[in-house]
Amino acid sequence: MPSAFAGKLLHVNLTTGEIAPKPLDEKKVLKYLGARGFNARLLWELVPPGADPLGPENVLIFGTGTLTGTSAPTSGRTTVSCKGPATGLYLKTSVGGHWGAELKFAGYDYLIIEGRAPKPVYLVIRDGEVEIRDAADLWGKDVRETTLAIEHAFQDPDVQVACIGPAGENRVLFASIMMNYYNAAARGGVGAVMGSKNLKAVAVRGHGRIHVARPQEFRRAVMEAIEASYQDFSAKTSYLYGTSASVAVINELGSFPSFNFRSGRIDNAEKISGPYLVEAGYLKRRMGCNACIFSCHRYCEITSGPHTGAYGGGPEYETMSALGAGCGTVDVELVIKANELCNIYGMDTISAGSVVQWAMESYEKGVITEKDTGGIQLQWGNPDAILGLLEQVARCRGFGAKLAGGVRQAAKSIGRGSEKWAVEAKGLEQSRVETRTAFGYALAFAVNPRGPDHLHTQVLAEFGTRPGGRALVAKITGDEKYAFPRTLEKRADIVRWHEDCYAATDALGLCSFATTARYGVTPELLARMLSAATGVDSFESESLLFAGRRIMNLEKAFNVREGATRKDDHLPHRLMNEILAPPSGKGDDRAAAAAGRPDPVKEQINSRAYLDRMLDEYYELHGWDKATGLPRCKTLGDLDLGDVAAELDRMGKLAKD
Amino acid sequence: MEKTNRSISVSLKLFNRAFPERISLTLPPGARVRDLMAKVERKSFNGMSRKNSSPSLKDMGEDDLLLILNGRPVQNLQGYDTPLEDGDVVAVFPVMAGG
Repeated sequence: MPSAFAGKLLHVNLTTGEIAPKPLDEKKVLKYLGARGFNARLLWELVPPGADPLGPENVLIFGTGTLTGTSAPTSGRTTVSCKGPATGLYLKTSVGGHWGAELKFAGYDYLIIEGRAPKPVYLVIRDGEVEIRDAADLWGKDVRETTLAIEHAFQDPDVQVACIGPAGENRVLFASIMMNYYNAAARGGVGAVMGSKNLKAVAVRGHGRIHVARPQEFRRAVMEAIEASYQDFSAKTSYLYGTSASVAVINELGSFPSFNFRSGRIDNAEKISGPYLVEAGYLKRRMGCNACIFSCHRYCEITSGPHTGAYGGGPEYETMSALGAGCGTVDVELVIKANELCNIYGMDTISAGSVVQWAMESYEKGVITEKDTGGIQLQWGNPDAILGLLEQVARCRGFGAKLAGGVRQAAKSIGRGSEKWAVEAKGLEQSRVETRTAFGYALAFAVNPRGPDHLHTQVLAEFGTRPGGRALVAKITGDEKYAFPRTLEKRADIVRWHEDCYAATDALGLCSFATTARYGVTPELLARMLSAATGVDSFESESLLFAGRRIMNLEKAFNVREGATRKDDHLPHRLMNEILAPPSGKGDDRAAAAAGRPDPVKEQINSRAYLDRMLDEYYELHGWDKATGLPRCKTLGDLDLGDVAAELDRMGKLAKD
Repeated sequence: MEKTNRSISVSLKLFNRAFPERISLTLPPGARVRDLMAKVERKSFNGMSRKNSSPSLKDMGEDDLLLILNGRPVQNLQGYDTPLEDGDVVAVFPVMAGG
C-alpha cells in the first residue's frame, strides 16, 4: 500500500566507498514521525559519545519530511542532522527548497553519510542510481559555481544540488549547506561537517512519484489546512514582504537587535525591511519552497551603485538584523551584498553577522586594534570592513581565521572581557530575537538542545498580539491572560507545547510558519494528513504531540550523553546581565512609569533568578531532575525510550526516579 | 498627575508602505485607542486589504492590525479600550508572522 514514503534509506560510507540502499522500517520511522525525529534516532544509534564532530565518526543525515513530496501545504522541508561542531552537542537544521522532495522522487527518504572520503568527492543520486564522483574540479569553487557546474554536467536544469562553499571546505564552524543556490541548512556548522567528510555536493534527480494511502481523505485535509492558513491575514503580508516584513514592527517594539544586541532599535530601520525591498525595486521575484502556499522567500538584485550585480535569495529578517542593524547599519545594498557573500561562500548569515559585530564592539572598546585586524578598520557600519571580513572568514585568512570558530572561540582567544559581548550560549550565536523582553522565548532559547535559536521552538503566541495566538495560549494554560511576554507565569507550559508541535512540524516536513508562527495547520490537521498519507490510523492531535515530545527528549538525551547538564541551559551573558536600551516611544522610562505605564527596565529578564524559576518549572513539567537537568528513567520509559534510559543509566547520567 | 479637560494630541505612525505616514491628531480628553482608530479609518492601507478593491483601514478589522502604543502592543495593555494620553505615539501595522 502507498504510504507517503519512498521506502528506502541510503547509507553511503565515504571511507570505504560503500553504497548501501536499505528498505525503510516505516514503523520505526513513524515512532519518531520522520525527518528530524528519525534523524535524532539515527544519530543516537550511529554517533558514539565523545565523537569529534569534524572526525569521520560523526554522521551527516539528510532526512526528508514524512509528508515531503506530497501536496501538504509547506511540506518542502528537509532536516539535516549531525553532532554539531559549534557546540559539540546535538544539531539539527531544517531547510526548505526542493531538494528533499527530489530525493524522495529519486527513491530515498533518508541519506546517511558516514566516514570521510580520502579526497574530495561529490555524490550523484539519479532515480535510484548512486555514484560517488571525483570532485577535484569542484573543490575551491563557491556555491554558485559548484551548482552551475553540476547543472551543466547533468544537462538538466531540474537537478537539485546541495553543496558547500569555501567556508564548509575550510571548516568554518558556521558553514552552511546550500540547497539549489538559495536555501540554507545554515545553523551550527553542518557545512563544516560536510567539508570534514570531503563531500562537496549531493546532486539529486528523480522522476518518481509519492503516493499517499488514502488520496481523497488526504486531499480534504490538505484543502482544510490551506483554507485555515489563508484565514490568517499574515499569510498575505508574508507573500508581499517576506520575513523582513516585521523589521519595522519589531524595531517599534524596541526588540530589533542592533549594535551587537546592545540596543533593540536602530534609526531608519525601515530601510532594511521587506516593504522597502519592494518599493525601492530590489525585489525581483518571490519564491516558494516545494508545496508552499505562502512564498515568503525573496530574490533581490542590485542594478546600480557600488554593489551593482549583487543578487541572490533573501535577505531574510534574521539577515537584516545580523548583517545590518547588528553591525550598526541600515544600508540595505550592503546587506544584500553581504548576504550574497554568505550564500556563495556557504555561511550562516546569523553567525557570520554575529562574529563581525562582536569584532566591531571589541574594536570600539580597544580590545582589538588594527594591529590584530591586519589594518581593517572595524567601525560600526563600515561596509569595507563587513565585506572584507566575511571574505576572510570564509577563506580562514588573516583576522578572519580568528573568527571562523564563532564568537565563543574568538572571545576565548582574545579574552580581555570580550566574552561579555559574545552573544552565544552552548557555542551557538543567538538568533535575532530579543529574549530580554520575551520570557517564553528566553526559556525556549536557554533549553534549546542546539543553542539559543528560534527555529526549534517558536513561541510567537506569547506576544498575545493576534487572536490565533491568544486562543492557543488559552488552550495551553486555561487563560488568555498568559498571552503576555513579560511574565514568568506559565512560560514552561507554553514552551513545552510549542516544542512538541515544532518537533512534529519538522518531522512531517512542514514549515513552522504554518503551525507555530501562524496557526492554520493545527496538530489535529497534521495528524489527519499524516494518517491519510501513511494509512496509519493511530495519529490524532495528542499522539502526534506526544511523539513530538519523544523527539525532544531524545535530542535532550543525546546532549546528556555528551555530558550536558542544567548548567548548559543558559543564555548569553549580555542578555542576562545588561539592560536593553529602552524603547523610547514617549519621554523617558521614569516618566512612563510615573504615568502608570509599564516599566521597560523592570520588565526585562536580566537575572539568573528569573531564568532559574522558569527552568525549575520546565524541568518539572518534563519530568527531568531540577537540580541536574537530567531525565528520569520513568520519564523516558513513558515515552517508550527505555533503551535510551538504559544507556544513560549505564553511564550514570540518569536522575533517580 | 493633574487631570485637565484639555484635548490631547496623539501622533500616529501609519505603516502602510515602507516608511510611515506620520499624522498628528487631536482627541478629546479620555479618548481611547478605539476613538483614535475611528478617526483614521478613512486612511488607505496600500495593497493590504482582504478586499483589494477597497483598500481602506476600515476593512482591515482589529484582528488584521497590530497597534503599538509607545513601544507596547495595545493587546498587552487594554486593547482598543486603552486610554490615550497627550503625547502618545501609536504605530499601526498590518499583522505579520515569521522571521
